[in-house]
Amino acid sequence: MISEVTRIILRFVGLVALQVLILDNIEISGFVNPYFYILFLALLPVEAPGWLVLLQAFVLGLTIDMFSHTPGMHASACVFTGFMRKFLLKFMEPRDGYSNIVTPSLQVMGLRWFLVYASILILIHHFFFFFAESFRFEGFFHTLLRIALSFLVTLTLVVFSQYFIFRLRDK
Amino acid sequence: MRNLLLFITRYHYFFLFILLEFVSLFLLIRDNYYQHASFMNTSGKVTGLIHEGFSGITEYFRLSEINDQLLKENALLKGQLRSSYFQYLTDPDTIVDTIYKQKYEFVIAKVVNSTTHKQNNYFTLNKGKSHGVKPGMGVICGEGVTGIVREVSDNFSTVMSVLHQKVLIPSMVKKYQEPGILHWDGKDHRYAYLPNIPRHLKLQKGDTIVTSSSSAIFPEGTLIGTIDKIDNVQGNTFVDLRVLLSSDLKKLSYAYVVVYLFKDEQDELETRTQNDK
Repeated sequence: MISEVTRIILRFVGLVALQVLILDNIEISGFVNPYFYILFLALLPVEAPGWLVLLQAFVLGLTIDMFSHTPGMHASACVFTGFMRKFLLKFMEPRDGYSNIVTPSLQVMGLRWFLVYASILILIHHFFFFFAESFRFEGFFHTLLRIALSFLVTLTLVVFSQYFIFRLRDK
Repeated sequence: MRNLLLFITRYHYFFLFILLEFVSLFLLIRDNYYQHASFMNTSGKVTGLIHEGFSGITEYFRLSEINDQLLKENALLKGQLRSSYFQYLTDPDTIVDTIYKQKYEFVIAKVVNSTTHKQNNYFTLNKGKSHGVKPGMGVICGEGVTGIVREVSDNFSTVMSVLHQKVLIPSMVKKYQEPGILHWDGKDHRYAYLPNIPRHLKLQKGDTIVTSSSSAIFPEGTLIGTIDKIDNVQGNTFVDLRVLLSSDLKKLSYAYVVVYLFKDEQDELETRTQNDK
């Protein structure tokens, strides 16, 4: 059995590696830049204290920043996403609470809940990130289109990854 | 004091968020010059507009004065035309023996990592400090200009490619030697933009754009690209050019780092002049 902490650390390393080594190098077009690593924030334990989530989001963002020459850009987006996550979880709390639920993953929470949860989280992150990246409101629709397309790709990756891991555990 | 501490511990979540967000935004603004510039720009834009509008009005009152000035200048220039001179000397052309001194050296490097799909793109070369590469040097490839060295380690260097919004390349329309500053707008990796070229030049699609001499980091006349579209805004005295970049940065595999041999000499002279105010 691996403990929850080890699992989180492994997930961190795996997702960062996947993001900077593979996803950042796939150049589908200037419009599609999936930021799949955000799955890390989505899958943090429900009961994790807020300050810890914020710190982890900051470290995650900085790590990605270091690899992509963008100091502060991913970090600010991640911290903001981490901050909003608490309210999102409260807002989407099931009727009988999160009793016994550690990780808000797809197989635990069900497809519908997870889809809404992941979509909102990814949208928050992408909105913040892409506007921080272009840092202006000129070309507003251009940025909006980039957000929309990247969002779709990231969401697809996030949802598929859940099924993939589910299958592996089944065996 | 106790109350303050209580207040902070009670809302520690919010305060930590503000603190971390502040740190990241500080990093973002400090490091990225482009972000920095656009932070300052909004104020500059407003004052610029006001200045422009005002000078448009005051100019009318000085028209006759300006006319006089121009007439005088015309007369002076006409006097300097070759046709206004009489040739006295008939001695043959002297041949001046010029000793050429090498001005540029090129370090060949392999591109080991590159992106073209971001707002600010970089690529990494496998040559660094130990091969004589220094920050600020230009990088070209066989087809044309590709970037400017940002940071170097012992054996590697990262290069801000032309597809980086911070990279501004002094360039000119080759046919007319008309200078301008080329930049990228963060959208399509094939095109860069050269704004504010006077409208009266007879520009055509396909005219070549090369580097100008005002920055020595690239050899003068290095190919950048060709004019792809001329943006003609009605009533404007300037046109904006869309330039098709000659080097395909997506397929870049080898590049040359341009070592400007007189750089130290020029820098030293220039700082000496500046300090001498």
